[in-house]
Amino acid sequence: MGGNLLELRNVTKIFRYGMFGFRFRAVDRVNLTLKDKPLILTIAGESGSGKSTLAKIILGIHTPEEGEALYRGRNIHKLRKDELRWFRKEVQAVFQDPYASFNPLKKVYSYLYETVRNIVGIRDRREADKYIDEILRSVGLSLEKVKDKYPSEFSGGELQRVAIARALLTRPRLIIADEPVSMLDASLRVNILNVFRRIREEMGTSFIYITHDLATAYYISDLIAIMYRGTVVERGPIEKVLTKPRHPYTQILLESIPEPEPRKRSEWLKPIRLSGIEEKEFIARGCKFASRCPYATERCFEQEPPEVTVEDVVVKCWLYAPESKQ
Amino acid sequence: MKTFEQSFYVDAVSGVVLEAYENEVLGIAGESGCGKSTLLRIIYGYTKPPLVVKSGRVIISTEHGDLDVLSLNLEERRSKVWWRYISYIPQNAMNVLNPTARIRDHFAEILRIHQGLDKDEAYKVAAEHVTQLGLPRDVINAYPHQLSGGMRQRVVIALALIMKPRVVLADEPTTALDVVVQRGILQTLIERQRELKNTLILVTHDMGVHAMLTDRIAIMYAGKIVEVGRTEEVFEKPLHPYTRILIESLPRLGDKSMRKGITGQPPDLRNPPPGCRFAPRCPYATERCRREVPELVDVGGRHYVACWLHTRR
Repeated sequence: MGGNLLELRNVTKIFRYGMFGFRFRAVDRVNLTLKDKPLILTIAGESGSGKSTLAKIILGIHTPEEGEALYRGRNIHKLRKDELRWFRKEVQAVFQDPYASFNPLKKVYSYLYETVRNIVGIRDRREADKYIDEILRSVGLSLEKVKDKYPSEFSGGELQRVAIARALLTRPRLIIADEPVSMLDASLRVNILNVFRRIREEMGTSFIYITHDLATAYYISDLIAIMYRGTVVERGPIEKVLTKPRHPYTQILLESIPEPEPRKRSEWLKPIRLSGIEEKEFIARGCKFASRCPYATERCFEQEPPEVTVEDVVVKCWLYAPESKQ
Repeated sequence: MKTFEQSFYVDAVSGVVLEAYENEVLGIAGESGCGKSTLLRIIYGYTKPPLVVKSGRVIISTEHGDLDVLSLNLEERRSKVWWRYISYIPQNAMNVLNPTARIRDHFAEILRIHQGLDKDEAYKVAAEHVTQLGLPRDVINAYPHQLSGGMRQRVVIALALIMKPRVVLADEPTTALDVVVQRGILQTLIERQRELKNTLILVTHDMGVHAMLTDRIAIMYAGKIVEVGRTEEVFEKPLHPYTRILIESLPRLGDKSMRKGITGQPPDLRNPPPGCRFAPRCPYATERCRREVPELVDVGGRHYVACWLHTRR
């Protein structure tokens, strides 16, 4: 009977910088739940929106100042030693640059073998190899192709597959993939995304896919959370959010994506004018998008907008607050 | 034909024939390592080792006749050609702005060399120019680090346009920026092109940007141009198998149907394959493709393709 795989309650991460310890809320009171089913959730946002910080909180790398992050009911940042071992097995990560994830002087096989020995617990070399080969085949590689190679001998797409295979070795229930295809060429991206789709179907693994690219997000995800300046402004089933965006930010974001459809050109070329006071937005009291929003009222600058549920979609915007409809 | 030199040669841009017309936006598309940025640097005439041009010419038509860029030395290119006839907008604006100089002094430098203006005159011209491009007047008094990434890129674009050059080259001008900012900047770029009726050559790997902005598009693969045509036509009826796979592999909003990418990887250009460079990855490759290099031919309506499938004999 279900329960949640992941639950974030009011999670806030504050970074301090400068001589006077200026406080900067990189992630600001984020709520998010992921059911314990094989689902792919996209966390989307532009650079500086806090999406990677949020990923690091979920992985236990950053500890939030406020709120809590629960993995299967247990607080990720208060795990005991034995629980931590369990958590590392259950939750794995794939990062943007595969060349940065592997030591260039070590054969990639040693990473695979060490993971199998230390975390999966298979000590016998032959048995370990058999297991590694099976996992490599699920991402379209094989032990034979990988065994004697250094990271530099792989292309970016292949090495990213190795990184995914390494993450899969522990049979994780959840994989956090932070911009896993943004360094790859367009014609190779879809191959990696297809691997995610297949793993989800065949192994029942859930994914959190972190990206700025909404087209690839749509291609693989079930759910999406749109982040802006540290807050989640809209979240829900991806078809609903991206085909009928409600938050003004989601709307302008979607309109601005250059799609590979020359017919949409005239629409895209319609002039947009936005103000550019970015730094202030992080410390704004009310809605962080207010200074750019075409619908902003005085209240938007003063008070933080509530989270309103409209047809399965949660929107953090005053436009949808019940009393403003009257 | 252009080549990189080390202890070996990399045939990075090979046998390229390309025309850009007056009053058009020409896109150059392709994936990392295909030679699109190298080609742009050659067009600009920024040919410093390790980049060596082994053969070929770059001609700019001007009101004073043809200008053979590569026949001039670097000093002549700098004083006579760059900024005035052709200008270059690089990907990372920070690389071209001097961090210790105010924006107005960047303008003053160019206006001094090419128009002989003194500082005060130059500042006035610069202020006028940036406001026309939708930037606040105060920008010219700022140092580069005081501006956001998008602002800096707009400044670099303003610099590139100040002399109203006939050809503007832009290499991934908005790749590092957010899509909303990107849209605003690209809109400015195209408005200016329409006003000056000059030629904008836009290099980007982002097929979406090509679809939104370019009149014609050239697709590059492994140092060669494989297809050139009107943008709508190339997107709707791609002829080269590489172009087709590239366009079909792009996920689109509102479409979850299964897509396929390309398998394998581009050839090593130190030792390129003898025939078509795409042949090792091409699902339609024949013996002939592996042996003979296909030429770029017009298949009608100035739609060019370099592929044996489309070459009648």
